[in-house]
Amino acid sequence: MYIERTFVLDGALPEVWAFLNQPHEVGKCLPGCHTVEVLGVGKYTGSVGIKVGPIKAGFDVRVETSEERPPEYAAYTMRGADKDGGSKISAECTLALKAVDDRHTEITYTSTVHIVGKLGKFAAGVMQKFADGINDQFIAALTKRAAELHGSPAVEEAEAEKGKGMLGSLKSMFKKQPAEAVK
Amino acid sequence: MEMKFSGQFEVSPPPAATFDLLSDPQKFAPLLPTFSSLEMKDANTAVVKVSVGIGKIRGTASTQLTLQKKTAPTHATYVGSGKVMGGAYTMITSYDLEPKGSGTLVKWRGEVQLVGKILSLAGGGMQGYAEQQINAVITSLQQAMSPEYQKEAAARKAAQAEQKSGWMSGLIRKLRKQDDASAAPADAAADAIDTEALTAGWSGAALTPDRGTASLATLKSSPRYNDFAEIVKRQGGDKWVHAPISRKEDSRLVRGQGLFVDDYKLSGMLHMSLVRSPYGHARIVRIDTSKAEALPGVVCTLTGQEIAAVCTPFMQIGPGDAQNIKDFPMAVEKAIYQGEPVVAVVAENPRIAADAAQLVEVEYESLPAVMNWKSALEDKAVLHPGMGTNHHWHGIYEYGDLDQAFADAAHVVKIDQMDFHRFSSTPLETNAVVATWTPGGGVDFFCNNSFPAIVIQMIAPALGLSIDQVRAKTQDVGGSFGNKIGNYPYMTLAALASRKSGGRPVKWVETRSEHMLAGGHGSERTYLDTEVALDKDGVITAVRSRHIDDCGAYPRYEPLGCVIWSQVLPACYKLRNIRIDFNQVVTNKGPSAPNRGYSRLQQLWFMERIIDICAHELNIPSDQMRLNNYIREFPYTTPNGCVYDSGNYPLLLEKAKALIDWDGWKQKQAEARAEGRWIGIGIGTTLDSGTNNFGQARIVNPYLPFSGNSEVATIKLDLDGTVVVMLGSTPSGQGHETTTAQVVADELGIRPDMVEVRTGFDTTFNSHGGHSGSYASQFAVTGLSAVHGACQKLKKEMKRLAAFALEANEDDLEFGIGQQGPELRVKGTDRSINYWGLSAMVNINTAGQPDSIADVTLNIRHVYRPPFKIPDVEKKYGNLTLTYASQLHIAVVEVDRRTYVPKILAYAAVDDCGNVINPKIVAGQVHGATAHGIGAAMMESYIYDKEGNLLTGSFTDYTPITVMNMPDLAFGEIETPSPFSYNGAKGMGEGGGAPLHTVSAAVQDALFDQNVIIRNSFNSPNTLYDAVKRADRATAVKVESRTR
Repeated sequence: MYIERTFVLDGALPEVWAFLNQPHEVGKCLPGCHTVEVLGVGKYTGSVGIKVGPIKAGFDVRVETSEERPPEYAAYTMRGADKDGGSKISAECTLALKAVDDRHTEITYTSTVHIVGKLGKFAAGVMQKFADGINDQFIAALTKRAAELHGSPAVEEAEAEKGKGMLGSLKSMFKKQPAEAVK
Repeated sequence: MEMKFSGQFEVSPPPAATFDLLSDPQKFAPLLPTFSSLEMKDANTAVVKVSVGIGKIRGTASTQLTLQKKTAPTHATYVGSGKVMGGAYTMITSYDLEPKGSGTLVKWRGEVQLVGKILSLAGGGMQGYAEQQINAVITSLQQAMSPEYQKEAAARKAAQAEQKSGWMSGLIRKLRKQDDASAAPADAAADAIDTEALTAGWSGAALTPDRGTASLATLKSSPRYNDFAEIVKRQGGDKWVHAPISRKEDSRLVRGQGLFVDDYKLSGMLHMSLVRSPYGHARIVRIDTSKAEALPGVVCTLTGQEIAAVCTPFMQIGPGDAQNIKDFPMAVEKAIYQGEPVVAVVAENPRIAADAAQLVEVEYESLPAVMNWKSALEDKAVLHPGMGTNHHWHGIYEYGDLDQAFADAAHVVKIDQMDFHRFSSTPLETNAVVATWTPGGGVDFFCNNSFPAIVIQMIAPALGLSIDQVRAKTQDVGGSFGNKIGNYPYMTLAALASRKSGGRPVKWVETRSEHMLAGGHGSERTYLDTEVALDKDGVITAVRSRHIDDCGAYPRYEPLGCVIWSQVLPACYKLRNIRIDFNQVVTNKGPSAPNRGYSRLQQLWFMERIIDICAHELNIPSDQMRLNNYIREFPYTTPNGCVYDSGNYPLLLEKAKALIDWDGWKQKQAEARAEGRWIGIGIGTTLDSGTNNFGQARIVNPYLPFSGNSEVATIKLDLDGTVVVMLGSTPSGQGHETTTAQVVADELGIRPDMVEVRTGFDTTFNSHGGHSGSYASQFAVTGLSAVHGACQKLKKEMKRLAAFALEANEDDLEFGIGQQGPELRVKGTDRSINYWGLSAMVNINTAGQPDSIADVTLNIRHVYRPPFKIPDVEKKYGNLTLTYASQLHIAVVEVDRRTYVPKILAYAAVDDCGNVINPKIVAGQVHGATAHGIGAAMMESYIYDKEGNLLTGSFTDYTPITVMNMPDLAFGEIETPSPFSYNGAKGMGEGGGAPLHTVSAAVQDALFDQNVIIRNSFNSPNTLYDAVKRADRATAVKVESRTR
């Protein structure tokens, strides 16, 4: 399964590079990502839950950077297994950054994903569309978060929601629906 | 499942108005043909509900539809997802609008991804259904946008509004309310009745005694023998072979009193669960079992490396470098199919074992997977480094003068490629074993292997034991169909697990999912560059082709399939010139195992396709084509030296045509065609060759020491004179207890209920030889010939004893039933001795008996050996099997023009297995084999993706045949006795895969006019949809006709 996306984030090239190198920030934007743990330079683990129609799975994923040319290119591999070890996922991903102007950076992201095991039988069909959807949500969330960090108007809206006390911050943690993210 | 559609249509309004309608769900959703409701979530998102009905399946589909892109007035994209009847789907639809005249041209594209039960429920007929729905939507859009329609609709709406407020609709509403109110008390009443019945207790006969309250007064002996005595009494008469008596074993099996492996429990028994590779091909980098071992209740784990240190790889049958294949019970360095065992976990109970298996960490390095014969032959990724190639076997089978036959041919028909798909028989009971490493150093197996005599010869050397140290026992087996021949790696694994657990018994029971992945698949076969020479009358004179078998990851029983097909080389046809270039490859799929009709059904399907395709291309009726080509003289020696013992194929055809009402269906077919319906009538003639000559193994590997065949039966008069028979077979539903009792009863002049047949196989019975087991349609010949031979020897001994006791001449004695049970008596007198008396002379009352009977044991072991010779290995010539049962099936199939679902409208099967031992059992076997074949032909297929994932790994996706899909079967039989068996019977358990050829032929007949040539044995709605869309008859088949 191959995925390719190009999108623009608010922020200058070095700023966006720095943002994308913060695993916790990126993890927060990834739909279904529960935890992110930094193991070392360029090495992270994360726990991701997905649900596609009747299919539910939780993956523990390990990400390792295999090549890095700051601030414009990174390649990394992702390997994971679901909780009972019956399915394995692996992906080779690349990120290429290009300055559009001083305030915007274009990102091209590619990913070749392999799924084997119990969930593998869905890989060719449902998963491709599902992965496309996840990517859309991920990019929307990244865009929003980058805008927040960059101090654009979207931040105030987000801050306003965050300001609703403990419950509000819990909500903002869990609510990562695409419709909201797009708003 | 993915479906893609595209098209264009025109509507009368201009683009702006069209866009306005198409980009607003509130406007267009009510136009959907089966629209039910709409709810707007926000400006761009709507939840639309529509009713869905495909065949018998009805339900509601709820779709969340979001307008993703909107570029007025030219483009919009909708994405949607939803659930329907146990399935889920995602969809993307987009359209572009262009002005055309005063109206608009709408160009649209759609993609739908489907998953879940809906696929199997709909029989796969989704593509056609979806296409039909799309057309309905388009029509309805076009209508809705026409000005006339809009006016009409407004008027209709006003009228409906008026009607709804009238008294009639009020009354209907009121009645509906009353119905709802009265429904609840009725349900409550039903509940009350049920409760009463439960409180009062079961009024019928108790199914099983209540063991909790059993007392001596209530204990009864098993009803098993009483039942059978009743059955025998009802049948009456004094000849038992050919009597349609119900099966003796059914009494205990239907009462749940069978003993299957999972019923078998031993003190201290442990349970094994397996961690299996999710990869089709991967190197095992690291295994960490520490977490699993730390779980309370886990006794030990086993890895491939540990096993390889104490175990020798299993024997390989293939020649040359195939001998270097390292086949261990578990993956050692790499896994080569999805589902290959990688780690075994042994625990106190099966739940702990399963939980612990999930705690095992295995790190893999993925390797390129070889998923079809083409990539296998490229050898870019080699599965078995020792073999150095994936090309496992090659041989040329050539007979007659091909060049001359093709030079003389009036017509030559060329078919580019045909494919026989991968499927299995999925027995109800999966593979299972209880293994105990005994204190003496050997191993005891309680298993359900169907060919234990050969597998103990595989297991003993692998474990470094002598054969005598391996005890194999089977009892009731819940279906095998050949699949269970291949479960010996699991038996070996359980033995090693028991050994590591200090000799505690270890049980392993395969789950259904494990069975689908790794329990044994039938091989798939591809037929390339087929050329058929025919004379001017449509008589086939020569066939040449290239065949490639894909046996999956480990050959195991292969390459025997590379020769076994040649038992039926020319099928039922008289052609003498044949050349088949036969190849076998290994791929990263589940290992194949023999499967009902093993290797022959692929060849029979091939030959039947040839007959049918040639008939259609040359415009010869399919029945006449067969009559022109059938073998008619018997015994008939085929070009490769096999001897067809007996048969009458034209009579089978005549009888089947009468059964199905051939002329009537021809008439109905013509009428249906006039209405545009796709109805076809297909014939499938098939052979069920039985009783292997194992000498054929030398054709695949000249160094193998096997030949001939043998089967054993032991018979004794027990201490009380009971006749006890032990067999070497492993019945899994074939009724061996019953047919054996029938044969013995006839030989001894007694009744079948007076014969005790010990079921199952046990090496300690000493009632087995090196070929014992149940496979290759042979029991009626090998098993019963052994029983018959044992009876003759026993009778001889009994006569000697009786002659002495009764002071009579042996020739004056006769067997029969007297007042004191079974006896021998002096003809025409009342002088007799019963079986107890005879047994006593040898066993318990031996003083004073004369020396002349000192060698009598009343305990006979007889080995039956069919009259085989070793085939000529060079010429690939010889008699490979003893008997040839035949079947002819006719099916009438309609392919639904909307859904492409093939539906069987009528089905007839006529069987000829020579002299029938028990007609009821034969009819049962024909029904069972027909069900398997129909399932395989229309529903069941193991499909892999290119990464090595099995896409049909559960019954939801594999959809085995059920009673819902089984047509009524018109069954008939003829009997052409075999001259090669003592009783004229022929083995018949496998059915020859007749429905595969028959359904293909019927579908071919239905779709030939659509320019379709059926070249795949799997006739699912999706394959038929593709075939009709491809309509590639002109490129798939070439006909060269010469005028002389």
